[in-house]
Amino acid sequence: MSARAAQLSTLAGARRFMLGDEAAAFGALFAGCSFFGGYPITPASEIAEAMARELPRVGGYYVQFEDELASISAVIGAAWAGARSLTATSGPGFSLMQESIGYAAMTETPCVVIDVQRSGPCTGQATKPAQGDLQQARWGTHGDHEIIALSPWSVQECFDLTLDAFALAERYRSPVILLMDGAVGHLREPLLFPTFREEMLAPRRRARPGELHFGGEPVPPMAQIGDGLDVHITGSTHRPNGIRDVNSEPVHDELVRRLCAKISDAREALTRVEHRHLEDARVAVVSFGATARPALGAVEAARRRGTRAGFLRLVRLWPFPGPALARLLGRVEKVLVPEMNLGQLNRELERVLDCEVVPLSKIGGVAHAQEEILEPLLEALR
Amino acid sequence: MSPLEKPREGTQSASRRLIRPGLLPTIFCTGCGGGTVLNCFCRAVDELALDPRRMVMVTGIGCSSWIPSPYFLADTLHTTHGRAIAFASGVRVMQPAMKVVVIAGDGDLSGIGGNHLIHAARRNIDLTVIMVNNAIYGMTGGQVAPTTPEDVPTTTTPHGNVEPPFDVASLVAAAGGTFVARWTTYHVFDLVKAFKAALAHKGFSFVEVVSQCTTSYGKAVGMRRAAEFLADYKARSLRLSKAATLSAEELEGKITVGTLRNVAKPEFRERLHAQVARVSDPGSARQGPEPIPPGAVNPPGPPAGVARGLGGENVALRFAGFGGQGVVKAGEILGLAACAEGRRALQNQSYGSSARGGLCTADVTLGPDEIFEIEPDAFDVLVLLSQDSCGAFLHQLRAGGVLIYDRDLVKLPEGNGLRAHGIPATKIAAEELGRKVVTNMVVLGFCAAITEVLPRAALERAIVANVPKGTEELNLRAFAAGFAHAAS
Ligand code: SF4
Repeated sequence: MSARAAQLSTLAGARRFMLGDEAAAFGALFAGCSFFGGYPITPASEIAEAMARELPRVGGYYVQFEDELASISAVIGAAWAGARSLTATSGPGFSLMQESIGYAAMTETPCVVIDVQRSGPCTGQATKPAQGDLQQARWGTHGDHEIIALSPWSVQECFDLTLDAFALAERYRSPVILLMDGAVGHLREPLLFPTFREEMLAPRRRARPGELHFGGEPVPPMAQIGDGLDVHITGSTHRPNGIRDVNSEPVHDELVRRLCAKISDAREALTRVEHRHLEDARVAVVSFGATARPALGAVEAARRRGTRAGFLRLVRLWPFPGPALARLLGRVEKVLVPEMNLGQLNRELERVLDCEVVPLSKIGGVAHAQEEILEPLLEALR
Repeated sequence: MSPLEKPREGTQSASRRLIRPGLLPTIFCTGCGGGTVLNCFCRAVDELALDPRRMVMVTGIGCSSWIPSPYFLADTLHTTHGRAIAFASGVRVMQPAMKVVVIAGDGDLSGIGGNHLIHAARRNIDLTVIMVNNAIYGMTGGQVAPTTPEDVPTTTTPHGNVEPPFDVASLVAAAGGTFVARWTTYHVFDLVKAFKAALAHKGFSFVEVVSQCTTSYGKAVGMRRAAEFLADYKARSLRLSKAATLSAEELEGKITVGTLRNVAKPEFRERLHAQVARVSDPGSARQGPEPIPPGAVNPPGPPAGVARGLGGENVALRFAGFGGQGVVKAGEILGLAACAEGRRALQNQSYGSSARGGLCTADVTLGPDEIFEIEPDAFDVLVLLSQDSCGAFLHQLRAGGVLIYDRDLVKLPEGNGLRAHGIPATKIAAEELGRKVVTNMVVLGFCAAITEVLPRAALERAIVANVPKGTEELNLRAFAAGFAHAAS
């Protein structure tokens, strides 16, 4: 039995009361994470601390680097050398990582980046939660690209979606962002551990000699460092065999369009939303992450008063599930959008919905209280 | 096949064998030192009989990064500007059997990537780093670099460079690099030897190659041919042993060459792997902190009795005080006990940036129902351990809620009409138990007795599971003292 199986089998079926940050770290262990590179930052440091403690126990390597630039770079290098690799940070560090996240997108490197969002811009309110990185996760790096981003709303989901993130990273050969927020990262709730089985680990499709590994199909197989295939990995524009070719318009066009299409064409397959009471809803509250909880509380409270309120939350944020939202929310008159930023989800919803979309933004570091959503919801239902 | 690709005898054929087919001639300008570095490196690899399949070349952005990428026939990782060493560090940790070599320029390694260079040297991670120092940003057309000599006019110092250049080899030696050498492209045999020594070295090895950029630097200093540069390097080079005998003035404008440092020190990757092997060995004794402690052993049951007069719905509690009072710990234990009892539970905390002294809260919401509020703003039970917290949170107590406070630390407003229960918790902890740090457990015991929010036994099990080993008994006694105080 591997060290990982030996360690994690002791947790099968166990319930623990733990932080969202710690749950994400354990999710990574269950996902087979073998390399963590990071730099301390509130409110994500508890992920690094849990990984520093637990990763060596399952035979993986934890390295604290000199900054976030090094962390993400090492994470990508480790991925190419065979690791399932992870870094965790918050807004300021996430900003620093953006160039190399672009490198990971361009070189199709499977890796997971956790951003436990805090109040910004800049140092903002360093210890307070926010959801202001929704668009940074999408557009933070330069140039055309697509990204996969997930958003947990509970401690259990911090665990579950980290597992999911590692699987998607391999499936789509792409960096995957777990967009937590300080509110979820820093709360403790019960977590139920699944049974760990080595077979559950997401497989990495590997290239055979002579097989194209940077093109030829939407998600090509990967030729790792050490496979003996003399792989050439570059963030510059490259041909399907990986060799740099920066002057050809068709080579660049074909590459970047394929990189975008492999994710955007899978939009429906990648869609995960959760909803309640939408069948007859007149007004729906749409949210994500921590904010979705008081949002659901408000909808349930409104329902108890005999109103036709509905609820939807995005479990996966990017690629944006526009078509699914248009279907599910096609009959509502109005959508309210509570979020801990000044309208970043609201903006996307306006883009894909025909009905009225009303922001319920809140910033300043305190999550929405249920009442703060219930009141405008009842008003809208009047 | 271009004339350059014709196999030749001797070192040339050695180089040819190690070059990715179909890519020659290289894209370097005529006379560029990059070709010399590539040739010398290939020769070193050949003489050491290294298997290129067991090597990975990691590079950054710039002309020098193109030396191995894509030309050298091995795995090549061509990264972002400045980050080659960081990428290489990830590769190094995961590929213990491969040689990991970084070849990049002076701007890449000592400018934008300078932080990674010094920290990799400090770690003594087993990488071979070859810095091709042409004293300029060549690829982008000749802008000033951290290595450009003073007064040289470049495209971004048109009136002359007013900054002194970095002595990068000395920097790396000072930062902890365990093999450090400097040569120029004039010293091809010494270069091959230095590359061989660096490749054979265990730890962070660094070779600075002073190299000609005939195009961009040549333009700045008015030298366009390689021969001019090589003659200049020859004239200005000075062996380290000779340099040691000269004064600072005499060394002005000289290039000191030789091995600056060659020592054996514990290597990072080996130490890390040894630690992981030790920690992950199921047979070995556990080192360091235990995993997340288990909850109580009893199976999930129906919701336990809730606070008197608070009905059967969710209960929200807030513990508030200043940092260092163990407020968060009290909340954690309450949540843990609830979780072990099969209740839904959520615990949240807030504190200022400084961990000690500032206003600090721990909120716990206990099921049975779904818990929607992550940050409740009204509480059924409010526990106040400081006057500041009283001022800040008293208004958040729900009508009919229970107030618990430290009688010595909090003075409640007159005529408040609250269901208030005072306890001299800090005093009990300090005087009866001899340890002020267990004030939180005294308060928790008192709170448990007053509110009956969770069974006493469940809380006691949670305390045992959660407090540091060796302090269980003390914490349980503190809890019991608080519990008993409620009856008095
Ligand atoms: S610009 Fe300078 S460094 Fe770059 S290839 Fe030409 S001569 Fe070499």
